[in-house]
Amino acid sequence: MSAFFRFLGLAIIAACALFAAMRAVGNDYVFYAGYTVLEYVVLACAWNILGGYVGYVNFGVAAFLALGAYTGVALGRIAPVPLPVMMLAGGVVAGLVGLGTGYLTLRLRGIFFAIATLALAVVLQTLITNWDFVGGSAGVYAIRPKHVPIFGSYIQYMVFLMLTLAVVVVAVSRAIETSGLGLGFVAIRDDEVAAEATGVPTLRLKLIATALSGAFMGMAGAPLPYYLTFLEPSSAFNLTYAVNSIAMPLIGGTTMWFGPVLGALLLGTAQQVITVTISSEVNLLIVGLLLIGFVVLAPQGLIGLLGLTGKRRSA
Amino acid sequence: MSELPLFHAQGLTKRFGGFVALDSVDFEVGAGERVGLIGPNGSGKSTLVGCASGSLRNDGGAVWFKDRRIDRLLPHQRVRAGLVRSFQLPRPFRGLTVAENLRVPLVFAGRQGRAQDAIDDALEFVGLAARREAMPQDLTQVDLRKLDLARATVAKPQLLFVDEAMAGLSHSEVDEIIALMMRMNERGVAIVMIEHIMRAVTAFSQRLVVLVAGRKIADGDPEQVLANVEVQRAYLGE
Repeated sequence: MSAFFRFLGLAIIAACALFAAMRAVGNDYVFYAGYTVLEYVVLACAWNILGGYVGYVNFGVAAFLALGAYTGVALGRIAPVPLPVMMLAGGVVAGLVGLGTGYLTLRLRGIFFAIATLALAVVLQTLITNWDFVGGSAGVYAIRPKHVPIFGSYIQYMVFLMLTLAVVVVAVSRAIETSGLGLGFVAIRDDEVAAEATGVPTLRLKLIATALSGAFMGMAGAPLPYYLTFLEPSSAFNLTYAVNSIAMPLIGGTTMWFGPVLGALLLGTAQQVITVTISSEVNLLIVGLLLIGFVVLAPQGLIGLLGLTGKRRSA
Repeated sequence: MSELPLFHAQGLTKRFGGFVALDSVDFEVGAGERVGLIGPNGSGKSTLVGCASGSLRNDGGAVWFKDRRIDRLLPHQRVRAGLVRSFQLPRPFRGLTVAENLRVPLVFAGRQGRAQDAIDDALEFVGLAARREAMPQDLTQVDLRKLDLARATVAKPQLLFVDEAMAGLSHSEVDEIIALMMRMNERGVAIVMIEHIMRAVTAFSQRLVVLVAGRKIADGDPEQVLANVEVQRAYLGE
């Protein structure tokens, strides 16, 4: 336990240092770019809980992200609730949908599960497109509050929230890795039938993973309308979210929390730089090429190349 | 009425589409007993293990274990109850070391007390103590079989189904595995051995059960069963 709190302390210190450094630059653009990178740290780690630890590939990242975003929009239309409450609500809704989807689809394995998650995204997008209360196909504006105490600007406030969420996701990921839960996840990933025959309650563990993974994606989605200031289904359900959230852990390495964090920081930052210096269209091409390169040449990702494959502490 | 056996299947029936893999089979195992289960390929041996351990769901009949009906329990619930199986091909968790492989049943079969001791004991018991930090991919075939048996032991079973643990092993390796299973039995574990290697079956079994085409055709003392005309016909032809 004490090791966990030491880790949490270090993560908080790192987050504070990062935030201070971003403020020191003295330009809000750093926060605009940094928000996207941090959003991907959360999405990549969340994807990795199910995709990396348990081995179930989820192509529906955008669906969970959009669920969080539209939960926030719907809440905001009913009552003026603060952003952290929207994030929590988005997390609950996306987590429940994750649980439900898991219950319906986890009998499917491999590619069939992946296709089912893709279908979930299509179904949800159709529903949202036809739901006028949250803007429907026309989209919806999100008005940022004018006055933001302490932080001064709203984007800094959003970065702070996303940074906090990133610390939480990383801490939860690491806690999973070092716990019996993580051991069960690895057993399922390696051989689900043998896991069941060794006493692992496979369905329950997979449901925990889908719910956690979905919930974190939903929480990351709640601030999205305020970040974009205008949200429409085609941007919220953009496939780019799924592609990036899968590519980042695979490039960084899926066996431990450091992999998706590293992948998201490097790839996310590179994309921001490329968007400014070359073009926003080159982004996905580079992601695709990197992904192919890593899958072929370094299947264990960067942490594998660095010799950090996260071999579990001996029993 | 006599005492109920440890494991008891009655009228066990399993169909795959139109094919009847098990046709109303009665099968029982007493506490601490060593039973050999033999039969030609496709006779329903592995199906019986599947129905007993829960990876397959029986279409008819009932299964009792320790006075409790278990044929609607999930496999991991049966493991916790004390009914464990091993597989025809070794199925280690390839991402975990030998010692970590044994930690899985410790954590999930609800017997975590003094984990370290239990793992050390099991590794010592099967003779893998020196390989505790090795990855499964670096183990030999016979060591993989031992790992499977060690993992089953850690779950503290009262009944263990061992599905062809000796296929493809050399003469001396077969002897090693038989000796290991005898020692497991001495610790009080009832064992059902499914095997094609007759030498192993006769050396091990106190009782022999023969399945042919999904039906039980013999059940009793090994020598008498093997002398049975019907059994010989099934194995050797007319």
